[in-house]
Amino acid sequence: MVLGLGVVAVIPHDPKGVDAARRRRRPIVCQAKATAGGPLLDLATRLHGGGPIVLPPDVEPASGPSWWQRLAPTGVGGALRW
Amino acid sequence: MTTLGNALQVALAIDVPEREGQLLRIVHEPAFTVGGRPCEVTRLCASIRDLEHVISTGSAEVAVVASQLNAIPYRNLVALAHRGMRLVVMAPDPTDRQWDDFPGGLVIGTDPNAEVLAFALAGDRTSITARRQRQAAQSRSSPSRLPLGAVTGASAATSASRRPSAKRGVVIAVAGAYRPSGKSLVAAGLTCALGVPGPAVLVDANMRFGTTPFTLGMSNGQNLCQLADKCLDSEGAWDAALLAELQPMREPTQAMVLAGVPRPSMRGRVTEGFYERLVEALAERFPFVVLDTSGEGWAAADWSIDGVSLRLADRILLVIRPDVQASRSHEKPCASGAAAIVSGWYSTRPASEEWRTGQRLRWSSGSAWSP
Repeated sequence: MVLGLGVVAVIPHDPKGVDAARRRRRPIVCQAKATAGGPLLDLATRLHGGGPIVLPPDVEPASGPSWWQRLAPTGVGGALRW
Repeated sequence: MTTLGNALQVALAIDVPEREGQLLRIVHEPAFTVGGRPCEVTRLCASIRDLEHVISTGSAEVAVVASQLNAIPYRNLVALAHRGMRLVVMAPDPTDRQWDDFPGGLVIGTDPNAEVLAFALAGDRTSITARRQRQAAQSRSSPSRLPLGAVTGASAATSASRRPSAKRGVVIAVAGAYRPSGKSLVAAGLTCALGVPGPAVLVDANMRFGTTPFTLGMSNGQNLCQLADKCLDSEGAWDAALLAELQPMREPTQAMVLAGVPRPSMRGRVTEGFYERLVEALAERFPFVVLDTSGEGWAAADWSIDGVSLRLADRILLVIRPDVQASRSHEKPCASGAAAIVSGWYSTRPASEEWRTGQRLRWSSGSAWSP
């Protein structure tokens, strides 16, 4: 009970998921691995009253090499070779 | 209410006035009998808490409960069904597989006729199951839902606009408590999820500063103010205007979004009267209308639009962010490191006068929460 009201969902602290969803400009329920999306999907299922709502997370573009991998062959590696 | 001698005592836990009225009409028909006994509705439960009280006191023989009452989780409904009283569940889709194993098997649709209701109240599981199986076979042979891959925003809006105007969708207001608490996050996520099985619409009704166009990557040019400027004197005009101003979320959802006020100077264009007509027009066209409010409307000095949202909503979700002190306390929701707690869930329409006059509210049950 919160403020005398029944709690229908608890959304976990998920700054990473929220930030990633916001960067992609998508709702949190569409974000892969976002823990905050699950309780909302569950709440929507109960609101709708039918079977479970399955929302496949968006396919994210494959991430490129990290900054040190990008630097290694040219920048740092080049400097070392030089 | 007069009590009939051997009447079957029924409790209704529906909390939708129209459906309650429909069931009352059927049950109180003189010709309606269950196993030769007349029926009498002895209790109307507005929440799961009320229903639990009826079950614990045994003040009815049968309870008819809506599967959506207080957004009760399925497992809690199952637990209630195990508590001894005959439970008849009214579900929007009784053919769904989750109901196959429901204790008692008395699951009917939300719009039952007298015959089905009599079977269910009598506990005739065989007839109800046979009927459900027939319905399931029919729905498999003629699927009514649009294939998700083919759904675009325009088609969703068009199909939604063909809904009969007699039926009103559910209006959900996402409110808060005067500070940023994650209302838009909840509203957008909820609408997106509700838009998977059928059309749903999100209205950015945040009169302070709506962020929906930025967070969902939508155009700020199609918005509430553009709609307010149009001459909307007919159903056709509303259809055309909504089609022009609503923007679709991307697949796989059919949800649509109406962006809010783009500039503070344009707030004045959205009047109470227009906003009320807008919500009603959307509720006639969409099964679910989610209003992302400013989080105010609780006091007379707050935005009047928020007050209208709270007044028109069938359900209010109160989003609360626990503060540091609460997070350190031993309360269950906060102990799990919650970022936001979606609370509330009470009907305002039946109790709107009480709400406006500051009297008692009809709270919902706390049983929806489980650790």
